[in-house]
Amino acid sequence: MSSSRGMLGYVLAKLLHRLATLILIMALIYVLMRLAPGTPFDQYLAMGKLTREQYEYLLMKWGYKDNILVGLGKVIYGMFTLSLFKMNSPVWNQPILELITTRLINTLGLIVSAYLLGSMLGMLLGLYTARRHGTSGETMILWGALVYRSLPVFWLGMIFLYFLSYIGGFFPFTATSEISPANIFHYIVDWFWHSVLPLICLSKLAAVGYLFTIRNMIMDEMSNDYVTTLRAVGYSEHVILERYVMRHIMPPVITMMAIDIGFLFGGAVVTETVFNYPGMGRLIYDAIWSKDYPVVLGAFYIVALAVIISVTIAEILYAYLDPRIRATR
Amino acid sequence: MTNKTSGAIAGAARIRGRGLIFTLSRLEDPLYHVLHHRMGAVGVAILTFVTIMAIFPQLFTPYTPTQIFEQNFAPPSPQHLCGTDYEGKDVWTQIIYGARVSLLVGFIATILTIAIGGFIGVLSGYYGGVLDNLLMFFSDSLMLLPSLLLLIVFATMFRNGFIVAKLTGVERWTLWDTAVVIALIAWPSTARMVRAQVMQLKNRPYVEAIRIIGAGSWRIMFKHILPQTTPLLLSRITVLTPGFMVTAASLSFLGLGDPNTPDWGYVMYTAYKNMFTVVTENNWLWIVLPGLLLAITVMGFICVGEAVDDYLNPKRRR
Repeated sequence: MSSSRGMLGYVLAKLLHRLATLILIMALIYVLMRLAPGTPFDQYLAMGKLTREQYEYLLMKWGYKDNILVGLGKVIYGMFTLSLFKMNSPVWNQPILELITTRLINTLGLIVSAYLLGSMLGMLLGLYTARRHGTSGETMILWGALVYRSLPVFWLGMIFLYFLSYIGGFFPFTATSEISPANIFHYIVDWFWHSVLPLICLSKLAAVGYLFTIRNMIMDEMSNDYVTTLRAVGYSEHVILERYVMRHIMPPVITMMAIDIGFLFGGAVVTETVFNYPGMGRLIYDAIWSKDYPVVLGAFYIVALAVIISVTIAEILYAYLDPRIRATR
Repeated sequence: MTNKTSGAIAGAARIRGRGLIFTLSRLEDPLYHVLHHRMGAVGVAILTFVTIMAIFPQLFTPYTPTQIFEQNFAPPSPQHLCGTDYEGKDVWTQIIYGARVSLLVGFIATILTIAIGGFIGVLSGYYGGVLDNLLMFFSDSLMLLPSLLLLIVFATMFRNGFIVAKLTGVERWTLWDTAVVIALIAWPSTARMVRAQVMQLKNRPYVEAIRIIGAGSWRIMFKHILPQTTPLLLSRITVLTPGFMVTAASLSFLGLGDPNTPDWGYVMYTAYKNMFTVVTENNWLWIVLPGLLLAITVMGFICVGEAVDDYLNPKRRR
């Protein structure tokens, strides 16, 4: 707890902490899966396609009969050597890495663009409403944002599908592209055309939250005494906002944005379900449903890794921007 | 001796009586503020409407949600405003009764979350040290995982019942399970806020005075410090409940809810599954209505929440 601990010490402590978090999360998922009854081979046994011996052999082969502690050890070992991704899926009978890669690219494309779109829009509108406080423009944006914020993502998706795809015919029913990636220009245009609706749905998750958070933070910060002093000295509102207020509120906003990446993965499951989009969320959902443990573990590892890396980077950035944080932890 | 005892009882009764009036008079001010706040009034109106729908669904529909009619997939008509679903159940009735289920899940999950979060927050903030580090490590870890994904893991893995279902002997995933698991996943944010407040409160002179009188740690924590965080905990209700309602609806929408107690998410799930029929019958109310009601309810909570926030944070009052 010494206050003179430097940046390096802080970073090392944070990394160790996050590593422990990662292990805890994976252990939790693994133990949960082992506690639940059922295996992917049960239905084949019930249909009579497998004999009892074959069934037992498959359970042994895929590690469904491992001692829970041994299995846990294997999972943690696999986390470090990345052999978690080299296993085969008992349901799909192909390596997890192949299964995950294309889905991950699809989902990342969706999440990253939704995230950029949403956060930019939210921040700009948040800034605008804080600066135009008390005008009718602010009131209109706030009520609009309030309504938009209240709409459930999957409902918005269904409304889009029903009115724009089925009735209107403007957009495709599903989000999968039929054009081969050979003609790269057409492929990109087609991808956008297919992804517009999921993108709008998913970006909603980020956009409106930032609008309200940033607006409230700016207004709280503007009521501080130092802002009054700066005003009295004669600085313009513009300079106060950009040079002083924004600098104070940016560090918590960065951390918040990093944590939200995880929530977008959660929202992606629902969005991908509505639009039949072949992504990570859908893969995880199907894998849990069919008790396909290797795929669940591999996919969760990727998601957890993505979230933890982004949060850790954000926290280090935060500590770099605000030295008080380094001192307290 | 008897005189002394009865005197003490009378005294306690007087204090309790004063306490009640005191509490009511303290509620009068925030109530006045919320009702005279523009957003607050809108929110209260919306929530009153939805609550009436949840308590007296018979006012809105002559049927019950489990009643089965002869024609399945009936098109919308005066008898069946939103038609019937694949089993011949009236969709309009399911939507009306869904208000009860959705609100119930949201409220139970919120109360449990506040209980768990408050308990862990107080322990962590008051004791500090190793216990604090450990509890905050768990809360950090939980916060980093996408909660919906974790909820899906629970709901899928325990299709034939989690804690509550097993306790009551039911062999399937129920809405009580949904509420409990949501609370088990969502407590960290509340715990962190309570912890921050407790860390400030525990160094106040009044706590020192109580400690010198001889009160034990648990008494100080739960009788003298936790009540001080009531405004925070109450304001959490308006933030958590709508979020949990949407989370529970998302779970139902993914087909992981309990069909025996259909909530708004489940009605949307059946609408989505039968999208083709919905389109050919032009039964758009089936798709629009449940989500619209959910959205309106969420909006009501957000409005009341804004009003409460403005009340608790006088700097922001206009």
